[in-house]
Amino acid sequence: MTRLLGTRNGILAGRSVFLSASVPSPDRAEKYLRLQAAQVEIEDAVVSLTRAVLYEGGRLVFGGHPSISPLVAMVAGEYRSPIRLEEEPDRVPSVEIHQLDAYRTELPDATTFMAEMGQALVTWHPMAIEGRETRASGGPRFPSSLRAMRVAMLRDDRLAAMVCIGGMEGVEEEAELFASLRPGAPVFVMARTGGASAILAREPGLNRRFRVIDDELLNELNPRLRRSDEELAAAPLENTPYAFIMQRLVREIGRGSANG
Amino acid sequence: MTASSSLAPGLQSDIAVVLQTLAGAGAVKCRAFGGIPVTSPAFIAVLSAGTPESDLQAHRLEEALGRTLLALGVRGAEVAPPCGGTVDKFLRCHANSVGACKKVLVAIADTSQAFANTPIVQEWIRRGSGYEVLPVMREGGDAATVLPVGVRHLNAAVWKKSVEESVDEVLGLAGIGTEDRRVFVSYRRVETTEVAEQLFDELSRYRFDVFVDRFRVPPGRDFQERLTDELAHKAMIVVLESNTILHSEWVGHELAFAKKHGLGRLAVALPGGVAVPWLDDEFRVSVRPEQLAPQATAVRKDSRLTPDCAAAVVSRIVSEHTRALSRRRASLMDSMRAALTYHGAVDQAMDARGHLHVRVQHSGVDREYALWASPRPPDLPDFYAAHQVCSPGPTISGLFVAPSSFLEEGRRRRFEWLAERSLLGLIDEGRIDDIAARIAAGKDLW
Repeated sequence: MTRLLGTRNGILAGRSVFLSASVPSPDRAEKYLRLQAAQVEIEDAVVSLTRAVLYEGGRLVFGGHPSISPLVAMVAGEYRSPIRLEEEPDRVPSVEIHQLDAYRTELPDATTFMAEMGQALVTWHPMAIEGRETRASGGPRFPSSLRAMRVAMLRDDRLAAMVCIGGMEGVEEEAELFASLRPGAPVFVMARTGGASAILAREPGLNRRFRVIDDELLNELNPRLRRSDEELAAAPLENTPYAFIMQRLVREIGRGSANG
Repeated sequence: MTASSSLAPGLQSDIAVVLQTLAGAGAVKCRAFGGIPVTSPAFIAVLSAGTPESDLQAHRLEEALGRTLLALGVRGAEVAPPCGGTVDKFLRCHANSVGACKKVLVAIADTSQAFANTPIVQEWIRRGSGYEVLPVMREGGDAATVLPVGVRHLNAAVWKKSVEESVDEVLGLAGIGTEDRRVFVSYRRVETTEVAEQLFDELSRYRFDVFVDRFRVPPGRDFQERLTDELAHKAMIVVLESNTILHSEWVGHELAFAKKHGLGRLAVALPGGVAVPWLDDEFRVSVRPEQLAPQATAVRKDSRLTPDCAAAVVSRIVSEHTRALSRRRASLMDSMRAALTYHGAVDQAMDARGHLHVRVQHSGVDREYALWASPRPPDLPDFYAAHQVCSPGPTISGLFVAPSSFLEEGRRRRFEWLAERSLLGLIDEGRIDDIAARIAAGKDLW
């Protein structure tokens, strides 16, 4: 019987994928495109990526975000049972969430709980500057500390690739840092999730390692879909098939890792 | 490839429901509906007692059934029945020859006069098992007088103000159930008990099963299982945003769970309440102080919504529920279709119930697969319906794509046991690409 769950300890064993994602806020919509049902679309993409990575035995790494962290941690719970004191004390969780010390009291309960159950690891980073940091209007609260955290986060040699979903300035900065700190590792951009990802996908002189994976796959697929049953051809895909895209993306990462 | 080929018999043209009515001296009226997610097709025949009053009630019920059926699926549509819309004799329908089709005769009684069309009822009963009868009568009527002979021992659907109250029972008997119309309401008892109960009552009229969080234990070792037990079979979560909603230990977990599974979500922003920070405003409906009864600037335990406000909130819940459920189901199926096409399995067809059929040829051998996708763990009716399609095996290989909420080993083993006996494979959505490759290669699913 096909097993319902479990990881394959497969093509991403020992490797990590860096996720950079957030839902563009309505008041930034002028710069960062907000799709219809943006929250649902981006969450769907994040959940699909998490499942695809964890199923292949990989780890997912990202900077904490109140709407993303609990979601990813909960998906991780599907693939690993809660840690018990008497077993696997050194087991490394398959999700690693990086946070600034300033947010210790703001960690969502769901994230804290999953960390306590051993299904997510929260890594705390000290503030880069004592006291108030200068911030741009509408920008993040601790820009210098965030950048320092991102640099530290991206020095992890296990990071095999980056995936950008939606997002705003944070995604743009993380993509720029990843490209410079992890040469040779691909950056996959989900243009159809809008936000900073749509901007990165359109960049003239786009870094060749930035692959607009959703467009790539769907452009290849659409002509082939039309050859199937007439009724289906008349009703093209209603939604972006994130589960399929992320599973193909993970295959690409695995192949790239295997080829060194 | 047509979806209905080589399947266990379904209705023609992939119809999900046939609705036939005999009321008045006019011809029999036939209507057909497709695009409705049902586990088995259904033939519903509405028969009046043969009096002007019961004729009127029969027409009203037929219209109400039609509206409800269309609302059950985003792709729900009225389609042309094979008979062209009329037949020469009531109860004549190709559905009678389809074993898997549910058959229900709805006998609409008059308030006081005897049931003149009793011979038709008795003909139906003589057709044997599988032919169900639902007597429908107005409250206060004398069953011994108004109901047809032969069915007076059955429980009748009794209506008070409108025969439309019987829609629920008709569809239930026809197997068009509420398994996907389950809503979970998250609220703070100290503040919004009355509002929660009010929504419970209102949504129940729309054939929703509404669950309020009456049973609460603190998160603990069985936390994941607890959340799964409460939410895994639900299609939607509604959060009543009152002043202390964020004090709930559960609401954050519940919303994360809902997002993980693409469940519908809606926040009802009550006066004096705080917004849960993990929901965009597009998933929020606001209630003004004057829309509370009694009017108040902050919701209280005894506050209720005004009737108009309650109707508007419920309408929003219903539409969000339908949207989320349809989107989730379509999203899973779209990923399956994309993966199959990517791997070369392009001979695909979708039936009216939303099941995907795939035919592949590999090494000169034809194989057929039938795939179901669900945003919730499969229920017993799903396994039964799948077995109807796939039995006696092994010609058609069935596969169910469902969320992987079965962390608990015992539950998982039971589902796998049942799936095996239903000739059905079970996978979670994290394996869609894997399975598509196997199907394209004509391999066994297990």
